[in-house]
Amino acid sequence: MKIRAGSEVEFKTLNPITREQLREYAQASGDFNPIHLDDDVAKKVGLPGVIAHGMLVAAQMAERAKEFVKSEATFDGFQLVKFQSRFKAMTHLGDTPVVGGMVKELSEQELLLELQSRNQRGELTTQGTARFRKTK
Amino acid sequence: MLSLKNEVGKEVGPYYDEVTAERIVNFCRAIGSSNDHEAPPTFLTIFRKGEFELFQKLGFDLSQVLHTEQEYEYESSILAGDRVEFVTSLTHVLEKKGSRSFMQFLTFETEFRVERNSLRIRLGKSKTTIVIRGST
Repeated sequence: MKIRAGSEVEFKTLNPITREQLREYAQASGDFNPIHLDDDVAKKVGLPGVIAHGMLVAAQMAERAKEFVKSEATFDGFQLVKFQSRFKAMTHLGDTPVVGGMVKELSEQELLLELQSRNQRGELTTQGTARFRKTK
Repeated sequence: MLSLKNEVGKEVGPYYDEVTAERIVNFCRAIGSSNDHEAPPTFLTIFRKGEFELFQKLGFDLSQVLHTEQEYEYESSILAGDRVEFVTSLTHVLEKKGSRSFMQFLTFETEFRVERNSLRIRLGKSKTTIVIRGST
């Protein structure tokens, strides 16, 4: 099916967020904010327990966008030029991000995707956009 | 917490940090990416040293910080072996006053460069917006 403005970027359900993953992400990213690693600190600042790094969910959203562009021959030569994400709600341990979106704008030279990550209850946690431009 | 409005313009850096293949692999693994040789779009988040240093200089703790928005603009891909140079500054402060609360939204911008074959190349820039929690 031909892709056009309004086409869906199919939603994919990812693995549940685990403590081990948050530790790995802290190590890999250098973001050791204790609200992602230590329940006591998280509770002290009014959270129910550790929460996922917003940037971890943003990273998964960006990956979904790249995967979508790679899977379509129409987008050969398109490069990501801008990625933006907005954190709307927290992602907790055990939550399963569901990531996808839609094609917002499409021309021969440019593609703009609108992205979302929702939790298993359908609540929006992260919103984003990814702009790709044809470079060759 | 005091208003940080007059701190706009404060800049730290340049900092230098090496990108290794191992760091790329670890980052890919932590976000659950199937790819493991290309730096993911949000990989630039490993260079937040300037932001963290500014948090400290401005007098608040990492656990008080909630990330609300993140934006990246890309000019060239980041490669294993790159020695990334970056400079971070506080570019915007938005104050929201309620009857019992005082919230501050801070925006930090970082510019990334790298030297390849004696040429200085722009990798891109990032824009991070945070809110300071419990800043009454």
